[in-house]
Amino acid sequence: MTKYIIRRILTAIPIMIAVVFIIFMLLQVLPGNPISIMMGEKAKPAVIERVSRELGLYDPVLVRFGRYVWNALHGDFGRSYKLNRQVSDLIKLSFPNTVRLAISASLFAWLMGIPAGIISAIKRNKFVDHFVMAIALVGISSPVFWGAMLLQFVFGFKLKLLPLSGYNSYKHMILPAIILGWASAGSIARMVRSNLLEVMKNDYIRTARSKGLKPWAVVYKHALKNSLMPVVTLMAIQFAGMLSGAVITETVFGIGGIGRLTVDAINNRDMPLLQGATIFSTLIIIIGNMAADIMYSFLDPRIRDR
Amino acid sequence: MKKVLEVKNLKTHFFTQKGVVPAVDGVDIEVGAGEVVGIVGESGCGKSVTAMSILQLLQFPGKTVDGEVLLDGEDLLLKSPEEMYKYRGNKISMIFQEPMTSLNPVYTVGKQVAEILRVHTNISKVEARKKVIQMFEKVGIPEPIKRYDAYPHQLSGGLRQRVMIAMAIICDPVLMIADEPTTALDVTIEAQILYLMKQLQKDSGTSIVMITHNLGVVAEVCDRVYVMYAGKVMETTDVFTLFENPLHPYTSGLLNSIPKLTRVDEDLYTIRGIVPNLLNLPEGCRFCPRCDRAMKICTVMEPPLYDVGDGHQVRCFLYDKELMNG
Ligand SMILES: Nc1ncnc2c1ncn2[C@@H]1O[C@H](COP(=O)(O)OP(=O)(O)O)[C@@H](O)[C@H]1O
Ligand SMILES: [Mg+2]
Repeated sequence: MTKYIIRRILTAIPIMIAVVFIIFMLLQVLPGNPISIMMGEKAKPAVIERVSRELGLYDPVLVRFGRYVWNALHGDFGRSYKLNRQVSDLIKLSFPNTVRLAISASLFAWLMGIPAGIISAIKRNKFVDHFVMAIALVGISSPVFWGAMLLQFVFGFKLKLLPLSGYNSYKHMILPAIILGWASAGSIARMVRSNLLEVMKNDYIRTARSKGLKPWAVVYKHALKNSLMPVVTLMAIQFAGMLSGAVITETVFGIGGIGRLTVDAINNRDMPLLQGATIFSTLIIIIGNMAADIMYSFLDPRIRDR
Repeated sequence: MKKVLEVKNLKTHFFTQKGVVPAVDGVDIEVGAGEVVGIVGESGCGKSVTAMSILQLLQFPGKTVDGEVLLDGEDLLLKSPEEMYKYRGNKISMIFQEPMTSLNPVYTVGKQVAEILRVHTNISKVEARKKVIQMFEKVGIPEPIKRYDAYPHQLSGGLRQRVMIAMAIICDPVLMIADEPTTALDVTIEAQILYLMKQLQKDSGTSIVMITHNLGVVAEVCDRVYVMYAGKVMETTDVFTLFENPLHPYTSGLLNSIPKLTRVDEDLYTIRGIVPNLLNLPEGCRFCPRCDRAMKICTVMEPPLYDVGDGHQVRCFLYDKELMNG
């Protein structure tokens, strides 16, 4: 078990390095000299030339990569050109907002998705099942901005129950959490439903029934744990995805999170910020996947023994 | 002998999109107290469905449409679902073919056996654990205390089947139904498990219905046998008569297709043809198309069960005295 966890962590490290390298290289090939962006359009070419040399921008790319990683390991991701602040400070400022949104949305998704999936499976092919699955499908397939604007219009503008945007209170989190969580609730519900139906076909379910367990006890004690194990992985990965920034939700609701930070960096061609934010998001996703695997191994005794 | 189980005219059908499959089509079975009764037949002949019908474990599209299942004289088919929960695992227990998949992979085997005690009795957790460990010892599981906390995948097939047996006897049932309990096991393990079941049966006096397609298993453990074919009982008699004097051509065919060391020079006999499609049964006797001794009447009429004495019954016109003599 401990071995498995250590192995899982060790395999994540080369992936992280590779991903950081790829992101770094991709941003290198973007056109435009960062110094001219930083200094504005009126800067003289000679000055740009000199500053570029001073900052080591003409060094070979591998040298620059090494320097970047070295500094990053010391918590220094460079300075944002536009905002003129440490990238790490900007991430530290926006991340809590993203975390709050991710937690609210995930809670919504889990509390809605899991029971909905169970009900659907038990009432398979009945009206309730079709109804729940339809709502799930709408959540999965409708664009976030559409649903967001709809909810803003109804609850914020017409009913005036909830604030339209911002991120100062829990009330502010409700609409974004529903919007961001809906799709995820939908996919959780669908996965719970199909897993549960699949698990119910197993021989050990027949054994459980032959022991005299009542139907709900068969589902609750013998089917649920087995069918939720893969869902936990999905939930962890979705959660990590939300932690890495929900670009559209954050933008529509004016939440200053990682997603917004990234979009702003792109709009401003703010390379160090873009690079830092992207790498941060990606690392979160890698760590999330790793955590999902490790969590899964805690749930499944067969993996635990490997 | 007191009858523990009487199945009368049991009919269980599957209502599929292609039509109604009469998987069990009017089966009568009697099991006496302390008796081991075998049900044999090729696969697909309705043995498992018969067993599942007795416990009412079948789900859509399967449904028992007619008959009686009397346990100590009470018809289980008339019981409400609530009452049936009290019978399953408690008065009638069942052991399945696949020890590999019949246990839940995410719980320890001890917990899974203890669960059945907790469902049917008011026993405390600690007491249940004690009793399970005792039972593990009784069914020959080495290191029972350690094994209590083992997960199914950590045990061999033989041990898992012993766990299933422990589960099946821990509530002291009056009847145990074993559906091919050794089919998935090695021959040596099979012999051990059969020996164990026989031993436990002698100790407790529980009646056993032993379902198998293997006549060797029948010879090993059964007192009486029902031979099933395509959803019907074709012949029933005590186990000695079955091997010494089989009457139905199907039974003879089954016996002849057992490899025997004394006949190495001959080709192995097989019953020609295949099990009929239950959706499209032949007119008359359902074994007729494969029968070497078929007569004209066999193609048009279904034979009844003829009583030939000493509880020996056979569903074949060859034993209709009037027909054969006149
Ligand atoms: N779920 C099902 N749907 C339709 N037909 C079924 C189903 N389960 C069993 N049957 C039918 O019942 C027949 C008897 O099956 P079964 O009792 O499992 O045979 P066996 O004697 O090998 O245990 C099969 O041949 C099949 O046609
Ligand atoms: Mg079977």
